[in-house]
Amino acid sequence: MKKENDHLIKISVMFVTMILLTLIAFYIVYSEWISNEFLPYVLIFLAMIQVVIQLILFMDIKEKEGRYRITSVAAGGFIAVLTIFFLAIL
Amino acid sequence: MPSLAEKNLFSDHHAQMNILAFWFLIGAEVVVFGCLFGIYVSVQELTNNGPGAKELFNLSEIIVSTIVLLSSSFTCALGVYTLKLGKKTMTLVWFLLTISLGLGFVILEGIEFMAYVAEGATISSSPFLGAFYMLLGTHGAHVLFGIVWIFMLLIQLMMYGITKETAPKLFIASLYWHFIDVVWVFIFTVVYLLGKV
Repeated sequence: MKKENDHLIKISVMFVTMILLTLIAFYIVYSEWISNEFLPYVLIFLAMIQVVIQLILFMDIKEKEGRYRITSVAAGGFIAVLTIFFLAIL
Repeated sequence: MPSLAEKNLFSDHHAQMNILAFWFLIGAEVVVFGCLFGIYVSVQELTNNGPGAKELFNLSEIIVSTIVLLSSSFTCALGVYTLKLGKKTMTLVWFLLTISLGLGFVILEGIEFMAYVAEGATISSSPFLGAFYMLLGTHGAHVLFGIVWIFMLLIQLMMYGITKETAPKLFIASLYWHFIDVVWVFIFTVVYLLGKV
């Protein structure tokens, strides 16, 4: 039961974290607090934290057959990055 | 260490294979959305002298949609939590809340699109708007499909209760829901926030 309560606390804390990260990203853009040169990197970093939270905590990517799950998403991501790269060159 | 209920519901080989197969589908979906993002990023400057991202988007409205969708991800996770504990009523409540929030998100997106169209920013106005509507429309269609899918699974849950057949299906639907949330995080960042830079 303690383990289940811990999980409940964990998903609640992570949900609040995701909302905070969204608001921080919004504030950074709205207030023009960071120069445009670095802003894309900061925003992508904040988004990546949210994605990791979703994948690990909400989608159990590291559970049973974790390597297959990670491989399928990573393979999809690799093809997506290649597509974006070549479209950018065009 | 999984709980006893969780062990019984998801230990079945067939259920495990279904969950794994769904992860392969998610991999394919990553490619689909990756291509749409690629197209959007490539043509976002081609506005045909029409409105660009900076002029068009109202971030304070988009933040509401984002919080609604993130909240649906949270209620969905709570639904899976109660599902694993074998609590049928609470599972129904959390998943109903999830699809209600999803519906709210779709309505907000519909209102946003109608406002843009009223300003003359239609799908054929410019390559930027074409790619924008294509990317967000595909995501919105995924949200709609998720709502219908989860609703149908909830009917099954009401009829048969939490069983080895119904529980893995709901778990797979929750994976799908979290995935469309992940896609939204990127849309919010790449399209809306970076669009304002």
